Amino acid sequence: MSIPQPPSSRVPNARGESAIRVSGLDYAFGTGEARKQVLFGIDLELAPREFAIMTGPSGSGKTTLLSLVGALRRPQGEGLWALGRDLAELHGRALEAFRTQLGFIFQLHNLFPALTAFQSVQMAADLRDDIPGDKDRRISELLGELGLGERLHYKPEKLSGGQRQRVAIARALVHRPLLLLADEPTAALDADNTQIVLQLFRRLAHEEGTTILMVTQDARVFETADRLINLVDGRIDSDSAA
Amino acid sequence: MRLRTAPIFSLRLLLHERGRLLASIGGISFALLLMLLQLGFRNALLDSALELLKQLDADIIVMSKEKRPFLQRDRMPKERLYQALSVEGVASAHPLWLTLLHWKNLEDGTLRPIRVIGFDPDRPVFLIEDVEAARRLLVRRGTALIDARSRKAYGRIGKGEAQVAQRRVEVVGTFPLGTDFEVDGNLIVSDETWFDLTRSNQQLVEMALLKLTPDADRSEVLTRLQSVLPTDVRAFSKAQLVARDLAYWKHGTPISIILLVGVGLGFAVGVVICYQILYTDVLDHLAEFATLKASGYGDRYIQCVVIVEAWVLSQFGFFPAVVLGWALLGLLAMVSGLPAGLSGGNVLTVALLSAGMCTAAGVLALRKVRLLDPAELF
Repeated sequence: MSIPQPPSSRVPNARGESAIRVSGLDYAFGTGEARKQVLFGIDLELAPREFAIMTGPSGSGKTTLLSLVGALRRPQGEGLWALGRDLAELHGRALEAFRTQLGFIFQLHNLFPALTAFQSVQMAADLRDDIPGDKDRRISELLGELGLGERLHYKPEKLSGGQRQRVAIARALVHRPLLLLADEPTAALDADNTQIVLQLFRRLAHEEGTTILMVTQDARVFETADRLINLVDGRIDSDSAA
Repeated sequence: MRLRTAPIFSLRLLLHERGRLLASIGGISFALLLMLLQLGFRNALLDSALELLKQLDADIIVMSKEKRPFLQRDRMPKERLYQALSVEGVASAHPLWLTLLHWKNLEDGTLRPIRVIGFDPDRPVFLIEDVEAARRLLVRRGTALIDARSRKAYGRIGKGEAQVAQRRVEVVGTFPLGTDFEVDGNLIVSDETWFDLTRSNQQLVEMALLKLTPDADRSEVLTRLQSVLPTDVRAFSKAQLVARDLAYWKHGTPISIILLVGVGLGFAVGVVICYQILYTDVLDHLAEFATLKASGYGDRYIQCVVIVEAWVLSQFGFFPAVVLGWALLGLLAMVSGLPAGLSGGNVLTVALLSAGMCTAAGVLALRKVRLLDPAELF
């Protein structure tokens, strides 16, 4: 593994804080008669270095919760903290700065067709000035670790679906995020590459101090995580060690 | 710090799809070409209308008060010439006559109006070298010099026999002047030939061209002339007349305003074309731009990328438009004899309009960027 060990100050619970703390969180779409509540009184706490998988049937509110924790959606009240910040109070530059501490992996890779694999990851690396060592070397090594060493300068049109998804994963990890939020990150990967990615996630969580919240319905990967949260109809149905 | 990477990112986005880039450049070049051609036509209008005036060797010009612009025909009594000559500081006063007559194309028999300029061949009044060199040839009655830039519709342009106002004229030489928006050709003849052709009242002249003594103060002479001359005429320095006519053609004629509206229309077309290009680009990469926002890139970065794209397109589109504009106006000048062309100022103006046009389109396209919602990505 080429990712260097982080300084202990990176870990947000240096003062005993949780990486994610959700307390009595409600969320609804629409207003008036069209209002539809999707989250009901969610209580959830994730410790730093924890690798949690959130699962549940379609429409249970997993993605909404993920986007709220990632500050992509504004909470409708109090009760949501991540990396020690009250997300209801984040605006403008502070919100942008907060997002640079996070890594996102979406179901779709969303790679710019104009950028090579290296350039796509470089865009994410450019957001942070505090990546130790040679940035270019880190990008190459990370892509190499994900099996793309021979494809560094390929654009998405020359990559397979799985390769594109691995570029998107490298983009989310290159700046060593404190919190990684992933939505079905292995859906487009074959079994071997799924294992590579999951091992990387575990190492990130346990060696780098990254907290990981991953949404998936793939029961084969549940055992990789430290914790399994099951969300049903906008409520946490079960929360246990994987 | 991050904004520094925006230009290279913009270039990568633009250069990735070569076909679309070429189409975009074509669209923007087309809008810029529209503007350049309108400016070129306007130059032709202004330059051609002033060309004869600029080629007159005079310090002060006396002419009818009603005459506006200079090329309009409105004669004054010849007596005004002598009255002007009596003013202190005036060294000479030479008459000039203008009229439109029909020239017969001897090749196809068609008739076309031609401007016939009469002057006293014993007295130099033109700054055109070819006219000065051939001036003495015009002393012989029935001879003329023809504008070598007259349109081909007049038939053969050169020495030889011609027919003007149903009278035979011998063309004894040519001179370069150029056509204007009123007529397609010019003929210079002696005063005697002019009266033969027009049968006009010899006691009337179109204008008096005054030269001053070396020690004379132009503004003082102008004041003295105004006090001596009756109110039916006015005296102008040549510079005043050029400025007055320029203002007349620029602001007082519908055609000049139409051409300026044409520039505005080109600008509007350019904004629409450029907006469509940028808007489509943002729309096609909506999820990718939203991912950038989710990663921590702010609206400012994405706005910067779009604006840089707009500027790059404005520059890419500018150079082909200038080359094409120059070529087309050159062709127009060759075919029509009009002094159609582009000045450095015109090119600079269009460069600025191009940047402004694309910036305006970029700003409009940014509305879409502001609506990017990274929450839609999950």
